[in-house]
Amino acid sequence: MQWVIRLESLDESELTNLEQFFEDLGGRAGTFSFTDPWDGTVYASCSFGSDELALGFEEVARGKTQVTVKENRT
Amino acid sequence: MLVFPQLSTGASALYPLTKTSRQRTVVNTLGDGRVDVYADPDARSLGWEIQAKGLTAAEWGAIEALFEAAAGMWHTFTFLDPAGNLLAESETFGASAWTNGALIDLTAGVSDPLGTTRATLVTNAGGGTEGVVQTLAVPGTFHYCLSVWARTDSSTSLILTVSTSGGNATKTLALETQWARVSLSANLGLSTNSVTFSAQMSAGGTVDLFGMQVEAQLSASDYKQTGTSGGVYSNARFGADTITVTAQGTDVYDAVLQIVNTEN
Repeated sequence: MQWVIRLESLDESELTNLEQFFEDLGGRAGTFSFTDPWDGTVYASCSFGSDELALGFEEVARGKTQVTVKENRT
Repeated sequence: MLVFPQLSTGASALYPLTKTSRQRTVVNTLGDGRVDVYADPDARSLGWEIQAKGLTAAEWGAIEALFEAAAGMWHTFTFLDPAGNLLAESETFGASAWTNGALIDLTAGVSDPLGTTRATLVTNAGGGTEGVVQTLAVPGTFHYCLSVWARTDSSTSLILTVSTSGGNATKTLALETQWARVSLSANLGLSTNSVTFSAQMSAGGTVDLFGMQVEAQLSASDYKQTGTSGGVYSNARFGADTITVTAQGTDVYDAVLQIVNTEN
């Protein structure tokens, strides 16, 4: 499974929290659990799909970014 | 000390701003098809793309002077993240980034205004005014806004201070039992290379503190939690050896600026 998530209307705290999480994981090297927003299924081992995260800071609460989450299969 | 200049409005940059975090992952595919994945933290970098529109001639001149002094990408300079909190360990007042008063007691795990328990009870057990203190290697000529959430059950006042060699700005705030985000905005206007930011209280005072933040701008923006490093990048570089500036009119200049930080 793979999810491409486009996030808009984020405030600066939300953008920074996402950045901190991405850096704490070391990009796509880290794993985390992810809840599928479509059906609520929890996938225990997922990773970011890219080693690059671009955060767009615009007007107040107009931040945006896009992330890809991939399920890790063993 | 080369420093990316602050705009005449007191801001570090204009929005829109794109900040890019780049990591490097090492992937080793074994003979049986299994894959080992490792993070390579020494290879990580940060980049900023600043869409600087409507710069005055003085503002563009300051950026161009820095670009020439740095010889494009060659030399490093100090860059204050316009989308970041300059303080390190913004919630961990006992971390080594803080140089607190000797008789300051810290009790972590206090309920905070965000509904978690990341606030800290700060007690001044000394005989004089003390508090939590952090010094940053930033210019004394910039405008800064220091902010923090605070509350008290003991009618203690909080003293916010921005100081550098030769000057300081101070604000005393009467706290209540409800959380409030308090701030001090100041420009010391002194040519120094470090500025100290503190939240202090008088002898015997007790205050709950959460989420201290410093920004190189006039007022506080959304809170950003930080870890071992804050938003002061002392080895930043321009991301290109060329900058194109467009004069849109008298005293109106547009440029797109690339800044990178590759040294952790």
